[in-house]
Amino acid sequence: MQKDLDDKDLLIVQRPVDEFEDFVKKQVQIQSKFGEDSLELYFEALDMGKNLIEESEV
Amino acid sequence: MIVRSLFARNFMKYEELSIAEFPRTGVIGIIGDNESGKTTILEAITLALFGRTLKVEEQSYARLVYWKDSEMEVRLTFEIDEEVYRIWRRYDRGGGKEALLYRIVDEREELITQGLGPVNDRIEALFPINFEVCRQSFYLGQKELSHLYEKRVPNSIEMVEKMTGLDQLKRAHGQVQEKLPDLQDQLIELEKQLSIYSVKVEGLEERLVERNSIEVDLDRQKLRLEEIQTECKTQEENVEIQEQVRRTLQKLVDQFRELRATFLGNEFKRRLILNSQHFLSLYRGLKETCTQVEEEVQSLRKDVEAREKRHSLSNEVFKDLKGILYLVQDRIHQIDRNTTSQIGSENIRSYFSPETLKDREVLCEHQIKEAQESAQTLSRSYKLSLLLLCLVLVPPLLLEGANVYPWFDKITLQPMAFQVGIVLFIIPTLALLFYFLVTRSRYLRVAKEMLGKLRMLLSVLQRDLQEEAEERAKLAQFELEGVGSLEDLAEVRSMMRYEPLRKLINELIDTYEDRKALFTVGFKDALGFEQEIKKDVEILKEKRIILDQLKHLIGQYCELIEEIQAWSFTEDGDHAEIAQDFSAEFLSSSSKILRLKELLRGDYSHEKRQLDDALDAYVKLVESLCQVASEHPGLLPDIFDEKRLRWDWDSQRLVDLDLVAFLEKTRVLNDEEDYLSRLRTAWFDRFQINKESLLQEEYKVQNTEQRILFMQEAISKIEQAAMQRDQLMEEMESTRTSLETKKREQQRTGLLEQLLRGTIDSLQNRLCPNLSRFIGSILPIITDDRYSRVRVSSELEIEVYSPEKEGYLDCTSLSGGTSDQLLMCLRLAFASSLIQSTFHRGYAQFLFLDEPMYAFDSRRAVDFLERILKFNPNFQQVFLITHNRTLFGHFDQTIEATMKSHTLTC
Repeated sequence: MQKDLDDKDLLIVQRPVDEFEDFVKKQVQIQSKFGEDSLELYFEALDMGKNLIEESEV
Repeated sequence: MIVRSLFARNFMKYEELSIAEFPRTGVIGIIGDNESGKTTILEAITLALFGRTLKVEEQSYARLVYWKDSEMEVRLTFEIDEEVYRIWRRYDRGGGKEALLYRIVDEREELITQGLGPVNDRIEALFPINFEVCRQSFYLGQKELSHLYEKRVPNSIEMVEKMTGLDQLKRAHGQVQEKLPDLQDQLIELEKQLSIYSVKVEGLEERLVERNSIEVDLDRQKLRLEEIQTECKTQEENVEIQEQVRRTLQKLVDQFRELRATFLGNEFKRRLILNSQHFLSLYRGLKETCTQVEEEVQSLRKDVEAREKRHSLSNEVFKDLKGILYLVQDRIHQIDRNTTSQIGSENIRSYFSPETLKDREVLCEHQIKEAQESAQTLSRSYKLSLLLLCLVLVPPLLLEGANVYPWFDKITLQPMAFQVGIVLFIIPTLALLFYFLVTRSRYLRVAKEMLGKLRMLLSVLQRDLQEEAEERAKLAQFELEGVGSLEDLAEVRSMMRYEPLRKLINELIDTYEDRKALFTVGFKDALGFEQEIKKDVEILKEKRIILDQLKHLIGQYCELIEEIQAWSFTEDGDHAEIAQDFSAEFLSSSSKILRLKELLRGDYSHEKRQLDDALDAYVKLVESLCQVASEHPGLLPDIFDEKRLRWDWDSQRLVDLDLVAFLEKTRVLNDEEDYLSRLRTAWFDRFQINKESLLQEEYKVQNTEQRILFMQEAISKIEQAAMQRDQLMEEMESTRTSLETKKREQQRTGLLEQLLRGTIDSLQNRLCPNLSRFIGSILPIITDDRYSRVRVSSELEIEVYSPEKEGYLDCTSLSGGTSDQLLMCLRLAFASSLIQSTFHRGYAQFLFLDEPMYAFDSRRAVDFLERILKFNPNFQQVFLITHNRTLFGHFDQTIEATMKSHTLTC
């Protein structure tokens, strides 16, 4: 059974906020690689998204 | 990580919690009733590891302290990769915290680090899973599965989403999606608002361009206004001067009238005083003259009376003779009256009662004429009647008698009725003619008799008149001087037919029959006396007439005299003026006084001082006008003539003139007054010209002011427009900023939506293949190979293949127990995935399951316990909380918590 499991794609589920933050950070890294100067919008969207996700927590 | 031992003091409900040793492998069952503190044991482990519990945040430690005490401590011994560590934490209600981390070597504690931060960092280095990930993977919460089940989750998608937190992400994503259209609308609205603002600003900018030209025009108008105001001021001054001139002229006219009235009044009064004094002098002279005449009359009267006394006898004779003379004169008068007739005049009474002989004669003649006319009329009617009778009787008789026409026979031949009719006609006609003839004859005879009587009366009257005419002639010749003796008197008596005269003469003759000599002497004396006294009497009469005239004059003018004497301004001097003709003098003087009174109209209050004052005031006004004329020659009327105003009031040339001449001369003053009136009227024409100029200037001022006002208002409006523009610009800027902000927000929200969508997709993509794989590996173990095939869609919908139904079913379509097993698999799949990805293969890890078998039956619970440690070798230590006491025998260690006890030791 352990052989079938792939370490790279596992069911690691963090908090939604953390998931979102990780995703955004990855996007930022990607965008920075493409030389995108205006990453400020990503960070603003990150803050906004984090607040929104926390507010939408039941 | 394997938990080895646990100690807690004053933690939540436990005053002391002490578990000396947990088995390294196997299932540790924690049992007990509700609120007995089962979960608290897991909470104590969590607190020791992560510094927080599942239910309480990090900052709320005070809630974790046992209610009786003020501080708490927890001590946990755990093992990682055969290394044993011990962590100690202490908290108090005041916020104090402590933490220590030891390594246990040979039952000895070696301090690794201390303090919250270092301890937490160290723990994180040892166990690289944070609290949340741990809770999400290694901890199955109390009633978590049953909660999902009981909430009737509609499908497995939502179930998985709830377990993985995708639902939270999706809600956030949904909110962002909902927000985007609103943002778009707001953007459109802001852009629209911005375009409106820009149009308005453009309109206002166009108006602002006009300002410079208006300001230039305004400056020009202000300069013009100043010029017009200066001109207007000059015109106002002119009008003001003209107003003064008008008032001065009005005063001048009034003053002239007053001056003229005062001048004339003074002159009239002066003349009145002079005339009054003259009149009083005349009066005084009249009175003196009157006294003298009266004295003379008295003297004459006394003289005449003395003489009359002396000749009383002669006077007695003379008186009788005088009586005769008077009677003679009466008789002459009577005869004269008898010879006149009033018939034919307007005295109608004389027709009916004739008083004089002449009246009776005239009346008689008249009656005779009437009687003659009546007789002639009667005679003609008598003759006519006779002729008719002859005409009626004679022809038939002649014809019958000569047998020319025997009409009698013819009548007799006619019928009886005709004959009777002829008879009845002829007989009355003849009778009537006879009757008329007889009466006319009688009336004619009476008329002739009357005519005869009247003619006889007329002759008598004519004879009487003749006799009286003769008597008058004799009486007219009678003179007393002719009577020298009684015989002469008797002769006179024989001539006289007037009975009273005859009677008086008879009495006189009888009286002096025996004193004929005395009569003769007395008569001569009386004649002499008559001759002597006649002059004196005439003088006396004249004197009396004069006296009466004088007294009449005094009576006539006494009221005027009294009035003059009552005047305070006249003085009654002693001077007496004797006039030749007082009547004429008085008339002349009184006429003057009356005329002056009339001119003064009863106003005697005129004084010389008033005249001087009025003259001074008039001269001042004239001087004032002349000054204005010299200073402002164009403001006075053209007919203004300074010389005409300077009338010589002080000249004496008028004063001594006769009143009529004076009045005639002073008529010039009327011309002067007319001139002044014309001057005043002419002023109005001049004034009107200047006033019109002033009004025009004022109109120009008003116009210019109005124009300036309009311009200022326009500038004010432009300023307002500028303010409005600035305001609009500010609002536009604000709107633009808002637009930018909104655009930014839209971009951010769009990006957020993409990021959230990406996060969700990423998570789904990540979970989808692994989830089916992990569940597929765990489910057969948990379900004892009853279910082995699992399908997970990209939307994370989990479907389980049912051999009985030969198809894939959604987890919600499975039985309750199967659903629980599937859910348990899901949880274990997460835990397996985590442990496998984080640690090495031989890593031992605990697993917390808080009442996972809530809906399990006993058999399935036992089967679950038997298989729990088989699905993954990493999970060697399982903490399982349950109420099911039938499972006691299946636990490797059983910890029982009681509700009443605050101490747990095992």
